[in-house]
Amino acid sequence: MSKKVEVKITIAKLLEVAYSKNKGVTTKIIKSKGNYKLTVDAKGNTTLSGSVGMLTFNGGSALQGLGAKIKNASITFKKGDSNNIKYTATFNFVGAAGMSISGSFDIEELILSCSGLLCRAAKALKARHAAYEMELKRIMDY
Amino acid sequence: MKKLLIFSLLGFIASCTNMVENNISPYQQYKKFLTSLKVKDYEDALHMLSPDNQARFHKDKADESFNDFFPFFSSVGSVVVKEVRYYENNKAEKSCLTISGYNKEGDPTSLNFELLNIDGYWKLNYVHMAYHETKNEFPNKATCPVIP
Repeated sequence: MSKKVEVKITIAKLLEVAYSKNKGVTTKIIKSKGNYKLTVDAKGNTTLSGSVGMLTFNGGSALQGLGAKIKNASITFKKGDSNNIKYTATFNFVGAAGMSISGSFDIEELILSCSGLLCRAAKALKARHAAYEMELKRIMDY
Repeated sequence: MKKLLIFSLLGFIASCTNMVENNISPYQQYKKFLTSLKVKDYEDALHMLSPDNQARFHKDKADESFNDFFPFFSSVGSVVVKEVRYYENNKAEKSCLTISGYNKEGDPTSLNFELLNIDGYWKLNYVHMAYHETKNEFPNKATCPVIP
């Protein structure tokens, strides 16, 4: 799997962890018209921030599939038409490597994928389902 | 003379009312805010936010409701459901309020608020919702949110 695909799947997983922490606020912030931002540090400490608030949690589990240790990451999101969310991400890796990507995804599809059977099964197994990874890859505009 | 006495009395009552209002602590203001959200009195909830937040809502809300426009503030009731402790750090112009406890799933969580003193009333300006790994991460003092 290319690094670009790994990064896109990681973004989806980070949103999934935020959703699992607080379904209400994550759904509202992602659907809101304002811009918002997700930042991650080397320890996996993750912040989802909007204009007058932020949610912090440990998103380390979402970084496991990256294959390289990150120094930090920053993803900004902007609402497009209907359920479409546009994002721009910068991931900095240990060893002076970095990557910037942009893309878009359908938020409803992502939320449904996470509250669906596939997501629950993946969580119950505490290991990622290959089919679930494929589903995230498809949703994240690959 | 009678009129003067009535006006003086009314003035005294008004000042007493203000004193009571001014004595609402940041924590009590948070509790009032939760009640407003619970009974869906969003006008009252909006009144408890800082003037900047209120102005931004009136200017930019378009077709968005209070819930949609303030995803964080409108969701504070879901973060700390079982309260364990709280701390306040009040200064003249600003207060920081930290409430720790558990959400309905039993995960350890904290809320860190920044409140501004606006003409004697504490108004909510910013909220940080923290999801901890263990209860050992509960703050042991009022922690001001670090606004990005």
